[in-house]
Amino acid sequence: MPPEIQHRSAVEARFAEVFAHLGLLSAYARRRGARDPDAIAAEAMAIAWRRLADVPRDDPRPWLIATARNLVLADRRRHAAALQDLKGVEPAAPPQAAVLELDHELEVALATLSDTDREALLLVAWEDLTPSAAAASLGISPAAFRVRLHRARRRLLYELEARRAHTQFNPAWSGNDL
Amino acid sequence: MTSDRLLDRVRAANPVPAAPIRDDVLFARIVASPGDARLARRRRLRVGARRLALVGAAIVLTAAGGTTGAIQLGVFSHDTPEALFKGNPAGQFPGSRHQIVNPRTVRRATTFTVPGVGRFEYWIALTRRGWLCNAIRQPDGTWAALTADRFQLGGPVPGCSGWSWRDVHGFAYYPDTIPAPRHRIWRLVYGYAPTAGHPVKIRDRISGVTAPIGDGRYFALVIPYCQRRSCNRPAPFAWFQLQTLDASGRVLVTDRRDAGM
Repeated sequence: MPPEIQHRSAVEARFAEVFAHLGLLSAYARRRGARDPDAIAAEAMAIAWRRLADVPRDDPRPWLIATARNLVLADRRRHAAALQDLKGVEPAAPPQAAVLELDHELEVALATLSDTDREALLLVAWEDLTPSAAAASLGISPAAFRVRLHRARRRLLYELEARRAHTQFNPAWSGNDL
Repeated sequence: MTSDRLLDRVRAANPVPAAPIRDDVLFARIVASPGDARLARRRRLRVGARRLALVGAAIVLTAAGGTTGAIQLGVFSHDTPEALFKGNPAGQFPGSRHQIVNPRTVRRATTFTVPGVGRFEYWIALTRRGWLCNAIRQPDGTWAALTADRFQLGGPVPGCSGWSWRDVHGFAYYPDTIPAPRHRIWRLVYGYAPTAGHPVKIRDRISGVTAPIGDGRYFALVIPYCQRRSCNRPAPFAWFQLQTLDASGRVLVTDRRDAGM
């Protein structure tokens, strides 16, 4: 086999290892409410191909998720702006995430977290990243990430327990109006 | 509930469990497009052949004279912005349909300088369907993310990845980083800003860095990303938050804070 083709195959083989995480990106974009999660995943992979030298060999997931996150946020900004354009009013709120099957009590509690704290928690819980990998994905130090994760867990725990206490004292209350 | 049980509960509530996806068509489309130039195979010539090549190059340089620069530019990049957008180098990317560029809309939106690196140009064009195309010309005349990618810029350039021209009120941008000498890293944020109130400048509210808005809406903002001595961690102001300013310095529109990439 000519050396050029051999080399090309080696690069493609390396990209194939990255590309194996396509499902992860699609799921990530879907969980974060992207309107077209498969397109986000495909575009993130296309960027990874063009910047393959930047993609860490040992674990490409933090890099890929950071790229997908940027694309999701950019898409959200575009969509929000398009809505403003249609309405001709002051800046609108970001579009709502797609409807997902989620434990309602947990969903409400998660919604009380700040965007950054929620992202920290979900990177570990849903994307199954280690704290170090999640920190790399967010571009912060592992120490800063641990602080953020701790804060998110504490806050979520507080919200869930507050809701439970409220329900105990108000049995008739369904909890859906908090 | 303990903290571990809490995390288990969140894990169990995962609404979209990740499953492997096999998409051979997408893979083939992506690898058919230009890859990362930094991974391109460098051809090693034997010493004799190398000398021969140098002598040949010298003859060509002497003979061609002033046209050599143009030839070189043509070899290592698309020689004009019009040719770049017409060539549609990112056209085969997923989600990059409708990239038939209207040649009359090709223009340099703005320029920006990265300390220690050089002056870049941000070029834009519109497709026939009104999509926005972006490209960044590097200090050496090449286009970012096309050939010798020594500045490691990437993202949606060059190409028309769906940024909408009809966006009037919102910010639309892509954050990237550029490595500079002495292990410094700069953040580059480029895109377009809301046009409400005749903005002339864009500012990062957190670092205070400003840049002019070109052609009524486009900008490229270079923000310090790393602390002076170590680039292992972002500077305290690694977050950014864009604002548009009018000629009197009044803030017109403020975007939400962004951690970028």
